[in-house]
Amino acid sequence: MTDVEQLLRETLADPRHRLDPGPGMYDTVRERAHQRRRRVVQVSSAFTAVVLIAGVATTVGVNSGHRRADQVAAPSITPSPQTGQATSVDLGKGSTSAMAVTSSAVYVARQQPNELLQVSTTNLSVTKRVATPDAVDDIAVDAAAGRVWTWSTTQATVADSGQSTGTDSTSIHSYATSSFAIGGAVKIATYTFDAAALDGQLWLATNDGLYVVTTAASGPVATKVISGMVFSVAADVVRHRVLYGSAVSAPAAANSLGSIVIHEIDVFTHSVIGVGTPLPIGKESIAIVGDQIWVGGYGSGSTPRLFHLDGSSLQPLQINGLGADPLELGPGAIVWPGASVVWVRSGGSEGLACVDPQSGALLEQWPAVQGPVASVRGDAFAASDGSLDQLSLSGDCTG
Amino acid sequence: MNRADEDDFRSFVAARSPSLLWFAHLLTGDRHAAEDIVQTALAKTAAGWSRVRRKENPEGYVRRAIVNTHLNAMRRRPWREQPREHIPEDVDSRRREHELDDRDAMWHALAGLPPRQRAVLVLRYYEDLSESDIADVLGCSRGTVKSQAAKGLLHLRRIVQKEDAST
Repeated sequence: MTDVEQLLRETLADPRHRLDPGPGMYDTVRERAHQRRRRVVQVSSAFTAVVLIAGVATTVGVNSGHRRADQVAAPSITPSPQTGQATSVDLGKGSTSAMAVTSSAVYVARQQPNELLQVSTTNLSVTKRVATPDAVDDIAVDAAAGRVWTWSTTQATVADSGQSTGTDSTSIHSYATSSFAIGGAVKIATYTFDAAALDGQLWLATNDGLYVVTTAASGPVATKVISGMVFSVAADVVRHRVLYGSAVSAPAAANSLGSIVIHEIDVFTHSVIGVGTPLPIGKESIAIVGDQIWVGGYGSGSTPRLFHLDGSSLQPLQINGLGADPLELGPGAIVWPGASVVWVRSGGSEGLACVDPQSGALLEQWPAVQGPVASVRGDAFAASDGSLDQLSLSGDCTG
Repeated sequence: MNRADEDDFRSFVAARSPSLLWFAHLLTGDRHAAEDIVQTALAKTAAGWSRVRRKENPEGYVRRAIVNTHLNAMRRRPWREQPREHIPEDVDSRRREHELDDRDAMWHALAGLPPRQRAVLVLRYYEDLSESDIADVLGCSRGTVKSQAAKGLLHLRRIVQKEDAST
């Protein structure tokens, strides 16, 4: 019989769990301390200005009661970037596991009970609802094809029983956006990290390669296009291509996670038509907004986390660039595409930012929102901690 | 921060970072999250270092900041689950294989615990803190510490018993 407490002590003291700090540890800490101080000063200044203006307005109102409030000259006090608000959308029983958005609807996957909902972006009411065969992990919507794709994954890992379980698998279903009727299902024996819908196809980044699911007369068919682990995939609706990242062995920097390269695939021929240069990140995500490409990932020490790539050459235009007021990215950055902005979330304990995809300027931020985020012009939503949140958008962050 | 505080803080970070990272790794199970929360906790501490360095146990103060930073971050659970980190292969060949298997199973079992239960067990069995000290760190009652520890150990014991039964 194993002494659990003794084994726990030995496990916690096992030197294999020791981590060595990178050479830039102190500098990173100091920089983050400076950033924290700047934020505190910003918030304090804004608060002081608000109090001063309120005081001035009150005084003017008292001394000259006939003057209109808009005659008071108020200095601009908008802190940069603006901090946004998030409001939870009441969807009843269950928890939100994923969502995707079009100009008229938010598609929301819920668990307990397992359901797919269509929610109007106009009044946030549920307009369609269907039970799903399993707990959905993620969603992609293909508005042009009138299809919502959902997928559920199982992973061969140590389960609650403490034993290694089964095999990796992904179950994929498609639904018509008009009726919510299931258009078919297909299962592949691999674990899916990411997926993107484009031109009636679903592209899946999995631990066994890049797959594409197409719809035949008999239902969806999955085909492996690229072998090897693929962690990320993104759809480019402008150029009708998908981009995916794959790890390369040659380290491009002192990053323990190695490096990745972004590849470009033609969605009609399924052939690789472009390859970028190695980026020193791992666990990457890709966001394509118009002709702008952003790649976020995890690094170590002071290696970069965020790259802005040229849409044609896939070469970096900006590295870690977020204008004059950089977001604290922590151990990494995760990106999602909006209609006209790129969403960037810290890979660690900090928050979410709305970023101009061309300049990299930080437009608005939500310190307590985690994502994922999906937006169309004027509407943005995030799925955080099981709820669906609607994000308030300032004038600069258009969604 | 004046020059003396700056030098002291730099020395503290250089000397104690490995230990703090190890502690954070036990709390999070993920090296990148560990780096992030240690950096965040140290950055928070830096502003008041002149005060913190005069405390009886500055490292204890930083560890408390690490725990709280981690638990706050877990309340806003990151969306995309990252692939579980693989344990490095640099194992001592003299160790018996099944001992490593047991520890690996325990490490994976720890990953299945809620963050607060895991924090209680790390503080109890790695930091050797008393129940009242753990309650102080986590800002909860001793009763909560006891129940969280009991639930966590029960979960781990079930897993280990199943492992024993299968071998």
